[in-house]
Amino acid sequence: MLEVKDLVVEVSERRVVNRVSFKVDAGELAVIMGPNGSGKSSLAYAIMGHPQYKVVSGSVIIDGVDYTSRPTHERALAGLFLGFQNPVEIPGVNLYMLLRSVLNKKMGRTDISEYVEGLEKRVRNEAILIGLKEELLERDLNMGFSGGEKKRSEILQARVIRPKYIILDEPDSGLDVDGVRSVADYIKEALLAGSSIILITHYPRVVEYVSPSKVYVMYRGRFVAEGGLELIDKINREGYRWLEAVGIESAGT
Amino acid sequence: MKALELDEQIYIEGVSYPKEVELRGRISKGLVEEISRLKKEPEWMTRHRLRALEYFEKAPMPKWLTGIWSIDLDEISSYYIKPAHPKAERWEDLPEEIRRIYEKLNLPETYAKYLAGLTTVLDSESVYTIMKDLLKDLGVIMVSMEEAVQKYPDIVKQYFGRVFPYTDHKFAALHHALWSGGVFVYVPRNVRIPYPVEAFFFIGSELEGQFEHTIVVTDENSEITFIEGCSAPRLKTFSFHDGMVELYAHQGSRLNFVTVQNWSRDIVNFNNKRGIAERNAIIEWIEGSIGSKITITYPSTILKGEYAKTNSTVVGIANGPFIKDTGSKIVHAAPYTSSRVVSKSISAKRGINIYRGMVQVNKGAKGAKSFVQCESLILDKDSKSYTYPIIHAFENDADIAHEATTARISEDQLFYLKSRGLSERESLSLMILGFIREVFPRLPFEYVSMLTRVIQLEFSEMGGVG
Amino acid sequence: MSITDLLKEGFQRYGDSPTVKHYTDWGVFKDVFEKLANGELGLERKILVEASGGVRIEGRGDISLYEQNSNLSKYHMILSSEAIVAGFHGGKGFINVKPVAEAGVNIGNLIARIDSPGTLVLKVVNNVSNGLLLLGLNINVADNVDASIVVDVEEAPGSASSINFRVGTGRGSISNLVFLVSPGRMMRMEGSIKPGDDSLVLARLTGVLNEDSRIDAVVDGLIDGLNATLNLYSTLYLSKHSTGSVRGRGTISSKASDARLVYGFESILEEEAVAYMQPFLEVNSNRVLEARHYARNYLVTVDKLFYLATRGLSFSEAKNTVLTGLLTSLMQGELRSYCYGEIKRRMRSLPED
Repeated sequence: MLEVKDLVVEVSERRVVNRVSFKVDAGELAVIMGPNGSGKSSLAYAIMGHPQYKVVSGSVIIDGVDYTSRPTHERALAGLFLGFQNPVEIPGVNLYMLLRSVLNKKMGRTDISEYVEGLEKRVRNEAILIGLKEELLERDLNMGFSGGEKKRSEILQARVIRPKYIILDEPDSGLDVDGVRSVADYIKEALLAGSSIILITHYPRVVEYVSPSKVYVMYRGRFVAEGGLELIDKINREGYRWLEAVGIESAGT
Repeated sequence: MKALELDEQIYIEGVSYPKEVELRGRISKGLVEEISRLKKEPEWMTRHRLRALEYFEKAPMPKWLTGIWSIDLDEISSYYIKPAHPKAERWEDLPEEIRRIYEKLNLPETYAKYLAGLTTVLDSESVYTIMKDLLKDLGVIMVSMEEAVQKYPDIVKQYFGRVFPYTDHKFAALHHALWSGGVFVYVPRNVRIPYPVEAFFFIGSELEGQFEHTIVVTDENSEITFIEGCSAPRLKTFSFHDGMVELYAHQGSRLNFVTVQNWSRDIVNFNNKRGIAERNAIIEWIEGSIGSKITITYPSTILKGEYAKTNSTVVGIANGPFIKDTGSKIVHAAPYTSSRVVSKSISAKRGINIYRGMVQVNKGAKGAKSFVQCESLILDKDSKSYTYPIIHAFENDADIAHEATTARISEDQLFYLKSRGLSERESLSLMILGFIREVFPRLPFEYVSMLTRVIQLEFSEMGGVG
Repeated sequence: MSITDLLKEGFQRYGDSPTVKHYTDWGVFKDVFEKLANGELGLERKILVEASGGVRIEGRGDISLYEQNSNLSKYHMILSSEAIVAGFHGGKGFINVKPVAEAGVNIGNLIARIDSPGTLVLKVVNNVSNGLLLLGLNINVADNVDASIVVDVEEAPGSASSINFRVGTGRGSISNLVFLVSPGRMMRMEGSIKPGDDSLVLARLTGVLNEDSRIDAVVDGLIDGLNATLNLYSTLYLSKHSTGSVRGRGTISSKASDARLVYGFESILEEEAVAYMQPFLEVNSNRVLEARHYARNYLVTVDKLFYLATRGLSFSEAKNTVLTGLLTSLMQGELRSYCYGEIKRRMRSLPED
């Protein structure tokens, strides 16, 4: 289980997450929605332990162990993963190199650039499944990738690494129908295999294919509403205007 | 054949010139004192000139001058002694090419005469006079430099020679000794001048000198766009120009300085331009260089305060056996400063374009960002483009990049335009205009239309002037 | 002319700019040469060269490092222009170059003739602690040969060297050339690359500088003929207090046509490191297919490290991965494997943050 308890996060002395709590169990899909600027990505960054996101109070607990003050890579090795909304470009490093290093680390090898048997074949297969052109596998990470290709590359990495708790930040934005479908397929597969997924989005199209166990709505750093599919329907119908009122109400709590 | 090495010899029109500039004659102390006396200058300025002259005599010849083979100081001296004769006194006396170009540019007669130097006064009902009055109401000081030295000595002393001291190099010293003309502009705190000040038409003759010295100061949070020069071709009475521009942008202010030059093709045009930007201030240089035989200009900015910014856009056209030696020099001396340089050059008919740029990020200038982009277009096999970028990175937390490409106009592109009905020349000038379009949004409309016409004529059958 | 005057004159062709006192730390060379002139240090006019694989030592020759009509007096040409000639006849070859003595001025020249396709590793180990290694290097790739060459120079922290080189490639050849350097306290590298007609040269300078080390590299390129391509890329990783200067003039002469020339310089700086980059480009005609250059410094940002950390790499592993990737980018095949391994080893020996 991944548990976030009363998390308060500041970045550049500005409070971006204000007492957020939630839990996700194996095989569960949690959806976090909210308008732009509500703090969704900040929450994801804080859960992953980004150095510039200061946890003022609260905790992040992975499988019963408190990781709040532990560095990012330890959280990743404990099973956490973040599929970025806007993956950064890393010249000089390609998908093969990255995945090789990660898998070696998971296997406990000291030389993380050592050859990993069967990795290349596996990566190529996954690329075909996810619809990523093979030539991009050799290219420097995310350099010259289109928005959709960057998203696919994130999913490909998740497929190879097989993390337990997968946070996906807007994985469906910028993708065409096929792309959204393959993201949904991946989510279904991962859930069946026992992983948990936290899907961050402001207009989920993926939800047409997969049902969440919990839906949270975030506004101004807080979770202001909690529910199920009906919340998503409300947002699809009314957008986020109703949040103004709710925001004021819950400000007192 | 050894590759052409610019620091050894350079060939123009089949004649070779030695690299060391030959100085003939001399500037006497008496001449400098006389200049100061005629201008009725206060003693501090006379002393300043004499100190600069002393430095000029001691200083070594700069090694980075290209194509200048000799400078006749006696000729320069005589220019001061004799009153300047305009090269022509009547419209009919103007060289035919100039008359033809002015006709093709459709300039109203008064403007044409003004540009040609036949008259020094513009129609008093003109829109420029109205603008002049508005500036006065805003409290903006805009007077000839001579007048400023006498009327506002305290302000002038704060800036004259402080941004670009005479000790910088030999020709800066020569300038400081002989300066004459130029304009002093001071924009008071919080005053934002809403339209570009086309100095050429306001103060015209003051800016026409050989050694003009211009200072523009923007006090806190003020704003000005200052345009000097004009794209129509101009004749000059002198053959060596050594001018200077000093800019000082105080906190939060914005200073845009635009120079457009299209002088006759026998002039050696040397410019010393530098600005200092304080915290949150922006200095923008825009330079369009079309004429002259050799133009040497490196607008430079020192980013002294945090978050100061500078942009520099330089367009150099060498259409014929001429040299455009342009560039920029930027020093990031404070954190979070940023600079952006765009240089576009076109070389044709044995023209040579040289870009010399330096970006230096001092230690402590954390978060500094600099981006320099140079593009050169070489139109034929006899023309050249040389780019010499220098980057000094003394701070590890800075983002510095310089990129440059050299291109040529492809047959395919020309063919495409011709297939739409344009002649070869028309296609060429269209592509050239497209190449330098980036400069245009910053210039006022009438400048753009004149500049466009000038460039079209430049690359048409007529070619350049002089 | 004293030996130190001789020394300075040879270097001043690429003189220092008026604002910068020195790209090269002249003091190091001047010191050694003064001691040599005083008899405090010895002079060895040879270097140890071992060859294996497809390389055979084929006698002696005279090295030619400068243009015939050049008036530059290079001190080491005066001290010795005799060279060992090594022929590479294809497959895999290895040449090992070492100074004879650990003290004093060690001077030697090597001419490497590559006449068949393959991969050649030329390893130079400089452990001269009180003195200097002066090396002259001539690399010639024959017509129509595809060659991959690594010149791997590894110096002990207290060592200094001056390496002068000339690379010429034949018509129709394809050369992948990497200069992999780990300078000691002062490495001066100066040379030129001239691709032949219809040939391609991809040249890479990759430097891993330890703390307090310094390099001044000057690499000129000249395209003079038909349909030649020269791409020169430099990436220097500068540890704390190190200094890296990379300068060079790429020239397309007016005789050339269908030329392609790219000069790209990149520096990665740690705290208190200093980088100088001057990729000069001189294009003397418009019969050019591509002419561009760039210079930039590269920031290993928190965001990049964070991204890799979310995949399980610690920040220092992430940084190493990024840096090694950058330093080996644009290399291919066997060259890349060799360099990757060597760079990894050298990066590991750098102190961690």
